[in-house]
Amino acid sequence: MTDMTMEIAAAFLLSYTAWAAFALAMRKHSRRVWSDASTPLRRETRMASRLVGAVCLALSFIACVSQWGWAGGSVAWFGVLTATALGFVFLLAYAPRLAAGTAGATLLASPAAFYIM
Amino acid sequence: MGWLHTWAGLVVGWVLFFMFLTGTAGYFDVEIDRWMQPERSLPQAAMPAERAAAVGLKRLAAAAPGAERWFIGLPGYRSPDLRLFWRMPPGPDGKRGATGRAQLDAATGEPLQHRDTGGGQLLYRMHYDFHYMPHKVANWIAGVCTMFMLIAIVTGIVIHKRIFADFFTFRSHKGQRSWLDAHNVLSVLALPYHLMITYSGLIFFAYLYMAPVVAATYGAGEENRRVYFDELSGRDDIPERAGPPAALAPLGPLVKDAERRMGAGGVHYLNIYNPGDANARVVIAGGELVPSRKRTKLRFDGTTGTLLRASNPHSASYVTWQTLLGLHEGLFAGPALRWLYFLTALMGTAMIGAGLVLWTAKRRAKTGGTVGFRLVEKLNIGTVAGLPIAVAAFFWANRLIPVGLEGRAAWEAHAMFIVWASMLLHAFFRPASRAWGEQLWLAAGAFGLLPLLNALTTDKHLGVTLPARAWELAGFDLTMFGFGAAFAWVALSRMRKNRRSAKQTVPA
Repeated sequence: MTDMTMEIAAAFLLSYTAWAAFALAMRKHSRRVWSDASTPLRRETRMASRLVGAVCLALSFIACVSQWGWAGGSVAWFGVLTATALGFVFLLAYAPRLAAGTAGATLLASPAAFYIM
Repeated sequence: MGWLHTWAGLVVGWVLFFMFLTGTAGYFDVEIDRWMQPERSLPQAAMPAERAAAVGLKRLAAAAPGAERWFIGLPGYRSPDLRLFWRMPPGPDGKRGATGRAQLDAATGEPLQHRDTGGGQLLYRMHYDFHYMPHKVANWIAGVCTMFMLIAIVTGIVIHKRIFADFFTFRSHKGQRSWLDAHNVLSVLALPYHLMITYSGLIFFAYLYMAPVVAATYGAGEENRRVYFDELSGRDDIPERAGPPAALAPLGPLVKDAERRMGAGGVHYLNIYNPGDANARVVIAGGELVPSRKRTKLRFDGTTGTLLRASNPHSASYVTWQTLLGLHEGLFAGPALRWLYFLTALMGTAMIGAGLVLWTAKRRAKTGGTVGFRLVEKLNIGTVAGLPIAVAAFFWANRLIPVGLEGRAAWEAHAMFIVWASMLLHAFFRPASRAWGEQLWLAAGAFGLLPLLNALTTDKHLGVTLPARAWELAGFDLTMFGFGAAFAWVALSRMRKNRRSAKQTVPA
């Protein structure tokens, strides 16, 4: 059981991206990032954002399983989901723009991490 | 349902907070052990399994000839030492034989020299044995409280109508609203952990709580109980002593064979039954650490060294049972997963704390003056802020109680509970708002200054452990500093909030 690998990084990045995608598809969170006055996201955009979230969640599960195996990976996946969700909620509460900005970065970084893992 | 959630959580909330906090520390029990034994050298590479087994065997043969069983625990992940244990044969009166144990340095094979301390193991055991109580009583209390916890979780899920709508919602600086948000977010985000740890916690002592179920089929009494467990776990059925003495086969080849099957470093322990007898058996256990706690077990004839049987298959119900216990303990978790366990367990602790504070925040305006309200508020301060201080005191005591003092290990634990009691007293004698502020700052200092205390009293401080990359030691100091910073942040934002509300009520 090695540690600190690209798999772990990919699992965290993907899972963070997923939570951000789900949250920013909700009006009450997106308007804190892009000001109250901004027009609400279109329905298609929200659906697309959720789809990205679902795909990222699934990929983070794959990353966990390839790091820890089926048994350990399933356990670790829940841990990764919890940790990244907590980090995202904390940022969203105290620095919403930073939360979204970080999500942009993880969205770009996670396919790369997943590819080279 | 809301009523049930509130009261199931409140009446045992402080005990649950204690169980969660000390249990959380338990995920790093070995690291805490290490930190509390600063006389030990920095972690070194352990000797190979074959040599460790030989060293252990030599000591056992000298210390306990004619034993019924010798145990050699090999150094490995989560068990840095070479551990020996022995049990002598039963006496003529049928009583179980005397036992003994030893702990050796895994690099040198010499007995470990360090101060007398309960260490992380003691802290971890507190979460179900409550330290001062007979085990059975404590386990029963823990079980009742855990049942309340399970009720609180299930009712909490039912009454939380906006799990998905409020999944990411935390509104700071909103008083009661913020406490509810915090409680919800900590509950929902780590819900899989909370459910798993609470349910599996009940399963741990299921045989205590439901003893009559076994007794109904196997009959009452300790002897019948043992029969049941032997059958259940397919325990290494060991023949009686034959009588004629026979030399034990060399262990080296057996350990080598086991290591070939279990992977390098995969051998966990050896059990040698009836050593020196013609009916000697050697059982070697190990393999990859998995959530189901499954181990490969090899049973050898102890005199000829022939392999008799490899592993015993288990029933599905046995594996399910073991998996629940394995998930609870997390012994299979490597460093990254271990940190995730620690974080989610910490969220569980914080969830209980936020729930307790929420109870008072919700009722302050209406029933703030009643005796019941005050009692809850004081217990909250003395536990949510006071218990962490007490845990810090446990570590301070480890460094400050003189090394040679008689019973110092016991006094480390006494120090923890004396400080907890003092914090509760302090809460009762100070106005609530002041008591919160003072204890939060005290917690910040007690944790934040631990690395400094460590540097003043030992030579295993950050200045040494960081350059040596001894992460299990450096990690402790850094984590304590992190807790200190977190408490300071909470105390500071409380002060700012109070100043703000004071300005609003008293116009300049």
